[in-house]
Amino acid sequence: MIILMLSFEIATARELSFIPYLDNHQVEIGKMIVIDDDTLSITSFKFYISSHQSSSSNLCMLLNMEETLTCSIPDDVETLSFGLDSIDNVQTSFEGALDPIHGMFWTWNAGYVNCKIEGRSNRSQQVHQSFTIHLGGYRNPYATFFTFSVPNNQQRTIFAINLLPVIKLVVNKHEGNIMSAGPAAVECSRLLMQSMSEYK
Amino acid sequence: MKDIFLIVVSILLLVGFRFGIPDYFPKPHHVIPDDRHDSLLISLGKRLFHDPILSRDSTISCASCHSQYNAFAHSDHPLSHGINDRIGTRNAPALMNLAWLTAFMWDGGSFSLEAQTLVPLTSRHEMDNDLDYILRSLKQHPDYPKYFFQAFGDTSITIARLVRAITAFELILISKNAKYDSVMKGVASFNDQESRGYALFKQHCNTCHTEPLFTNASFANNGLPIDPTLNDQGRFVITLDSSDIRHFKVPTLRNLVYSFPYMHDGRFKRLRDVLKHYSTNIDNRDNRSDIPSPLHLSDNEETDILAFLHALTDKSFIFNGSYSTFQVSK
Repeated sequence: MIILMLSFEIATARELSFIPYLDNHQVEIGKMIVIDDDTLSITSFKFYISSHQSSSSNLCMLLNMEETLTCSIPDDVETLSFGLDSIDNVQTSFEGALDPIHGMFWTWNAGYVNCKIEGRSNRSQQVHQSFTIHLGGYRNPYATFFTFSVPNNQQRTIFAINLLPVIKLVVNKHEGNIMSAGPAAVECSRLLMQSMSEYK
Repeated sequence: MKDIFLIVVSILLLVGFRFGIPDYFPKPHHVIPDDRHDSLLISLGKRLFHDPILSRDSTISCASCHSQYNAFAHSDHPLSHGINDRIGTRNAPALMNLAWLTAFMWDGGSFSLEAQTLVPLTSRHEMDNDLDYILRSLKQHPDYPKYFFQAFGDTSITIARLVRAITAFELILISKNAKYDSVMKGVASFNDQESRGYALFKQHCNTCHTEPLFTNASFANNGLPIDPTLNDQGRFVITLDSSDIRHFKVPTLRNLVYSFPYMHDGRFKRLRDVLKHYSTNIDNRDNRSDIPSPLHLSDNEETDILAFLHALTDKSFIFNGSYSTFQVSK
């Protein structure tokens, strides 16, 4: 299990998990899932979780489905960002979770990719029927990070994320690829936010 | 009182003044490394800057497109030249006085010098390398672990350290000893032609190419007709703001005698062609308010401006031995 943390001290912590779904089907890396007349698979799903709210220090973690989508957060954190804000971007130390070696840093239009979703869909027109969703951008009006609340009265919180709406949007409307900041990435980011809910 | 004076003098010596930064320069945005305390870091950065090990096939280095004899620009090609003879889409810009800039690349796509360092390393048209491979190459090199140890206190080689070292070297590339600077310090004076050129410069050029750095570090559309092959929309590609269409970074004019060809796409080889553009050839068929009006300079006025621009040449920068390359071990 690798969770990359930056300056994060665990005094008292609680557990946070994310479970990706394609509608009612829980996602496993590489597993083919048939939905309606499409067959889909996810080959990569990773994203940043961050917060400047903790009294101990800033929180910045890169969660990767190939490793784990569970992490610890300090007790005093009630709001998290899905992605990185402008401060995290422009003041990056390039260390820890922010090391460009993790493949989450755009160079030509500098900044971090907040979330990567990659896989295959029979409906994709791309080579190998792949789709590539790289949601980044920290400058307004094309910032793609969003915040969400975490209940502070429970030791373990699980969020379910339905990836299907954003995949459908990208495959049907954007030819299977979004790899730069802009209105399309913002639209996908909002859809992703709407597709995330606490799992009870 | 005496103690305060000594403290102030000490601080000035530690920051900037170590490099003799003129008092008419603005405050830099980046901390300039101290060549006494950071000499091993700067040395590592210089070595990396000149070492083709950073490119995928070990054929080109940063210095390949940023040669000191071209004021750390490149004169062989209008557009940058990468591995396998690949040609990029932009002219390699001159590197100097980078500590005073806040955005990098012709389109400002890099928010810091450290972030900019990663662009040529990974660009397909330039070094076309991947960061994993670069770190592996450096770790397996017979000498680099030692150099990183000397610079950082241990042999760990990371991307953060790599960009910090290269940035340290780039930040000491400071040009401040042109004839213009001697005049500003009161130890020389312009001749008549240079004086006329300076007056014209202040009238027509200084708003964007602002003294003493000769750039206001902004982005502008200077009315170049668009190259239909490149179709380069400049900063608009970064911001997606229509007011940034075909805006490019205003480059410094220091040492521009050495930093040809000119413009973001290197279309002009001669300074005279650049002046002709601003004088009569500005393209504003769309009647945009952000494009300057033609200056309608006479031939004599162009010649006067050229004389002043030559006074921005800093040979102590171009031929500074401490910047130059040395034998790089393979």
